[in-house]
Amino acid sequence: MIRRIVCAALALYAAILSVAWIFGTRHARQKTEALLDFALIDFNDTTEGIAKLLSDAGVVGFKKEDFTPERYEWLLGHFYDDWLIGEKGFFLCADLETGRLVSNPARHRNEATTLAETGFNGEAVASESWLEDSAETALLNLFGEPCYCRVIYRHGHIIVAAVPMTEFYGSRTVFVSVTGIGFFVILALFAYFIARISRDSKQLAQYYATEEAHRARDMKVATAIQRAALPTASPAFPERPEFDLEAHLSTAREVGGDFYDYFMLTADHLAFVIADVSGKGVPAAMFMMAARGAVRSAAEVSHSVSEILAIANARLAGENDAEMFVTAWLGILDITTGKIEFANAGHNPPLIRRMNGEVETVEGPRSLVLAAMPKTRYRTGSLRLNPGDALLLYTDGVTEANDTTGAFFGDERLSATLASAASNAPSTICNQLRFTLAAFAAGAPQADDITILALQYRPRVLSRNYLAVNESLKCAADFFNAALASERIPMSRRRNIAVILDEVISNIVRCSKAKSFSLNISFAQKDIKLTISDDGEPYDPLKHVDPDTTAAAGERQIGGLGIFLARRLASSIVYRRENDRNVLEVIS
Amino acid sequence: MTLEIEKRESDGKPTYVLRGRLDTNTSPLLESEVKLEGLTEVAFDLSGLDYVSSAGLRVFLTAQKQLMGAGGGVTLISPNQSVRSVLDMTGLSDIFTIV
Repeated sequence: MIRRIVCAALALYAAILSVAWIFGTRHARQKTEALLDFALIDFNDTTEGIAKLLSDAGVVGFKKEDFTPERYEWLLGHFYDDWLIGEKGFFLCADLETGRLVSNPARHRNEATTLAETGFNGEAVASESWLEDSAETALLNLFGEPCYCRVIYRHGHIIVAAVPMTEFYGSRTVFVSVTGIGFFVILALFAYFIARISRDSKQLAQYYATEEAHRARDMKVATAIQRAALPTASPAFPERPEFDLEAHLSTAREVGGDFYDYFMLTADHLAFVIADVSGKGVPAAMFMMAARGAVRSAAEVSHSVSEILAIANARLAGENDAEMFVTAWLGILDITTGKIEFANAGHNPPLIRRMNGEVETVEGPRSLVLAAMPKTRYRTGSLRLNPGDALLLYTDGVTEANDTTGAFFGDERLSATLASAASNAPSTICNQLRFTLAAFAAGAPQADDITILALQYRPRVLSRNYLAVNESLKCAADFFNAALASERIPMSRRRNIAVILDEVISNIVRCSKAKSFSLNISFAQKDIKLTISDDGEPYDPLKHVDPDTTAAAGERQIGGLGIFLARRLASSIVYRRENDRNVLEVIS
Repeated sequence: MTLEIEKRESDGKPTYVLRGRLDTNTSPLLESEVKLEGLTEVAFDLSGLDYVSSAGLRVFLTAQKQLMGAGGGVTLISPNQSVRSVLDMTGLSDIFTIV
């Protein structure tokens, strides 16, 4: 830039110099011409001019013969003595015939006595006719210096008006000086512009710095807003020991397009979602906020995964001018059973790590990504987590994480990492995966947002198997009391459950011809759930007709009171026949 | 905790003081302990009874039926809230004398 300016300035300077030279020269010439014109004016006014001059000097006529040589010389000498042309110009006057100079020899620096001796060359000023006044100024060397000359002939004399070139040399010099000044002006301007550019560039740098600071601050706030939009409490649900959940999001830039979310849909249903918006940066982040909101609000309207995604999709697709889309995996865990219903909108299939450490991929129906088409159906899949099983959701930032050679982390490494986790605890799984990913990347820049969500189902189910004999009743009751020992459960409720257990188990022992039965105790929020299953003949005790509790003592039935009591004491009892077993689910 | 049975007698009228729980396992114990021959009145002190299941109720009901034949009945003394609610639920609180 500066180099360009310097070149331009030099070129401009050269141009100005040339123009100054040309104009300077022309100007000097014009001045000279004017001077010569002026000097010869009286001569050009024909003889009258001279005559007038001579008459003024007291001489009438102008004829050589009319004068004594002394008088004539004096006249001419006197005349020319006072007559200079400009500062340095002079007249030469010579007799045409002899070529002898009649002008004051003192003016003729080499004391020439003839015209030829002055260096005058008649040829150079020759007009068409020798004796005609020259119409143009000629450049002759007189007395060794170049002079602009004009020649006229008067009264047998040749009169040469000469102005040395140096007379107006100053004029050219002025031009050159002006040019010099111009150069300095240009230099000054140049310096000014340089200073201004430098100031401007400083201002620009400052502006950019300010803008960058603003941007950084805005992005910091945006990051905070986005972070705040995601649940981060750890543990996620301290009051819900039946499951444990941990999620992490690491954005590639300040803000990201990934998100996870989880919230209680009902007292027994946990909704959790992981999603990835196409693209990165601010547009993706804004769409992510919209998507998260859409899923949340859809979950207020419906408790079905497919409906929630359909509603969210309709909303997102309707507002989607930016042609973005979202992949999402939404699950709803029934905390009482471990069953998960899910819908997959084009997202990576999650992994399950079973209690024994085996890793499975969750297949199941896949549907279109969110926000692509307004009316999309999302199919529902289901899976069951057994107590202790963990589910891992992730975005493609995990499998597509790069190492320094550009290789992907990939599905196999992910499965292996999950399998190698020390336990099924979500924090363990998350930490293991994050650690492994960091080690794999080995400093390679993170290309995409990385989001993981691990969920472990760990209902506090306590389970025992018993022989179907009366003695087992006591064992079961003791087991139950031990199981409830650390629980804050009112005595009256414990007693109620003890009665229920007694009634149900004695019923099995007495009526079902079962060899054994099992007792599961689980805690879900405030409920205590007993699942009693036996391998006896199909028998639904709930079909028993309630005894008449208003009959007189004599008519009272002894039997049937137990199940009646159990039903009254429990908040719900459900019977089902499952896998050749009678299963009674009691919730108190 | 199982069931402790203590028999007290005043004016030839027995009172069985029950402590613990009266359920399927323990009620046969009470059944064998309670002798009703020649009696018209029998009382059960339930103040120390934790809970009662239908098996226990059956013992009380059986006794009540027998004593009703002799013009008498069963008195239940100071049942706790759980036992009382079981008695109410089954309608048996109308049948026994509860003090």
